[in-house]
Amino acid sequence: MRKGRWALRRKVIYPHKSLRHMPFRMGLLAEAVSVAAGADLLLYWQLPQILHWHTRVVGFLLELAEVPWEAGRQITLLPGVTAELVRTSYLDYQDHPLYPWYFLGAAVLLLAGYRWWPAPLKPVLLLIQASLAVTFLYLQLVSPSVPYSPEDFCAIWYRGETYLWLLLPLLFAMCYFILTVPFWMKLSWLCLLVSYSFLWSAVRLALALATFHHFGSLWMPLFYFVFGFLADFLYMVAFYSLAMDRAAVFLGKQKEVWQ
Amino acid sequence: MILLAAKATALVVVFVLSVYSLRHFFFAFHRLFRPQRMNYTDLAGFHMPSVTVLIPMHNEEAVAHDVLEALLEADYPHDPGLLEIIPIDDHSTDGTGEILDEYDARYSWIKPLHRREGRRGKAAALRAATRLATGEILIVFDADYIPGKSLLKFLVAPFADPEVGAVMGRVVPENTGSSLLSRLLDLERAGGYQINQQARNNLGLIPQYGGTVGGVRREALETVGGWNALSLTEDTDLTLQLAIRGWKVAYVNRAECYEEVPVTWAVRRRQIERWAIGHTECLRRYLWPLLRSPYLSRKAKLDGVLLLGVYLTAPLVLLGWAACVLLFFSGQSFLPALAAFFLASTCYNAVGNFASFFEIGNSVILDGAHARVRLLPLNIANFLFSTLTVSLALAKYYGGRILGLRPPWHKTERYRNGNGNNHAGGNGNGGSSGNGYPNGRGLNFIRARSIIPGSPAS
Repeated sequence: MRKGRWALRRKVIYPHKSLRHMPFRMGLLAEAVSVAAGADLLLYWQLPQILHWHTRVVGFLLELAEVPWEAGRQITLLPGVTAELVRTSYLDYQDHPLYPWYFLGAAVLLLAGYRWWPAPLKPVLLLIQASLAVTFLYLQLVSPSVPYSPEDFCAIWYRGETYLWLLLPLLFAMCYFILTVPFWMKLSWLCLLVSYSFLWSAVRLALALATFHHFGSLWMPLFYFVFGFLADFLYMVAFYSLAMDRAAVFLGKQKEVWQ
Repeated sequence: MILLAAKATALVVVFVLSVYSLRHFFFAFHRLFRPQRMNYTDLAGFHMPSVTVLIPMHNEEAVAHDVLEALLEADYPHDPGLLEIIPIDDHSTDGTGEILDEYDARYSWIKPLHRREGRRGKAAALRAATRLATGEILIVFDADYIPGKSLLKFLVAPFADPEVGAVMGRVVPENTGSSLLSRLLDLERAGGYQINQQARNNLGLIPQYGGTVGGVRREALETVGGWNALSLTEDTDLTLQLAIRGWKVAYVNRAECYEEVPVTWAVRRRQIERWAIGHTECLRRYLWPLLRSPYLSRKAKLDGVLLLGVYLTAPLVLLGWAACVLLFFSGQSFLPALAAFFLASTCYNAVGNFASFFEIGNSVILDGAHARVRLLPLNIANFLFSTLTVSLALAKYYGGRILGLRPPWHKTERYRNGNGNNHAGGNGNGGSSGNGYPNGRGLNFIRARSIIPGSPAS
């Protein structure tokens, strides 16, 4: 009896040609890897300029929010890539001792209404309250301020975002470039995603620094944990879902009549 | 010392979640690019053994008509020697029993079983009905399912292979428009079945027999001692027992069946609580037998362990977050691990059989749909909800074990035909009370959607 490849009992039955149309192609995986590598090289090359632009946008937004700022220290993020940090200040709770209590009161009030919150939002709102409560306890019991200055926070943010920017093309390309839709369509979505990522990062950082300046360091863990990398991943999935929707519409138009 | 422990915890959690993330990506890529096992579908209609359909029901008058009428329309030969239907009235207090008696009077091959004594619950009901069943193959449907005309033929076809012990079909929600949750669950089901189950089947791993829209060979069931009446998830229990004893579980993507998914978060909570506890009990019961089974390959064992441990990822995520908070406040932002942790945990985006975003996106393309994929980012709500719910359920379960308590069995509420609170009895077949989520999409809705111009049905 024949064995191996020529055995009578086949492991798989290759489908009839009418069933072979697949919206995904294995060959496109190579395209995905090439695009991701190319995009990362380009990003790495342009990172100093991008970070410089990022700092300028943050500075501009801080001025709009009437937050005094100055250029801080320079940090090296990757070999050959440095970024200039933004230096701002916290609201000092020693001058405004009631502020943390106001926020804690608001959080407790929200918690009292827990029963009436929309169910899918409950865990998200609970995360916000938990973050405020834990930080409040830390500020009351352990130390009057969190262990990071706004400049340190800025450094942490720049590090995280830089790694994320380099990871984004790989994640998105591997998920999206395997589809049999035109290359320009895929590339447009990638460019849109990466551009959005730069802009949204600057907006969130400015928002975080302005919040620390006006309302104090109580809000830092919230921006670090909930509006940090978690938010980054959310918009990536949002872009992916919109891109897949458009791709599905395109593929629907390409179907053969007999299908 | 505490900081070192926190760092180690964070890294372990990152590692575990990364393994699960990679597993999802691997399944998705394998499903998309590797050859598909055709799964005996060519045999549908040629291999027709004697079949007994079991339908456990507890207060199901809102949906009982639909499932029985759909089965009456099935194109499996209505020969009492080949097809037998046993709807099980399991301690119902509404009109379910009368409905079943009505069908009993009209059709000789519908033989209802009324249970008024003994342990309540699906597994116990199945155990009692199996004693009466005469079929070589036992097909199980939950009462809220609406099988299509050719479904039975597709489900029994793989049993032509004597190694196959159980077969699982694909579940498709029919009430997707009822609420945001039902839409999100539709995405979850699509990813879970179209990608995850199919990939497991292609890879020769352990596709999960889901306890409904599936069948089991009587001989295989007897070798594992029948349905485990003590289990909250008798389906996972059976899957593991069969796999450990060398029976194959096959998945048939073509065998689609419509179901009613939970419409409210409260119902969903009770459902996943039960799954989490049942699954974790199976982990405790079958981990070592699984690892020692001589019939399973190493990759199947690895997949089995990951399958059994999937609900433990929820408390692990919380533990990871707690470790990260501790590190943050101690001045060690521990950035690379944190970044990786958040990416991995969110990328995994899954507790239970919930599929990752990539699997869902691809399943939508394979199904030829598009608009619903735009809801994908909202799955974060489902993820956080499941993480908290499963963690609390497991805490309750282990607390109960210490006190020697058995977890209760909660029935999933139905919304079809205006029945919104599952008391069913008050509304007959067209009531309107409930909690604002009526689902009027019963059998007639499915019929209307499936009529093709030119077909006899039209």
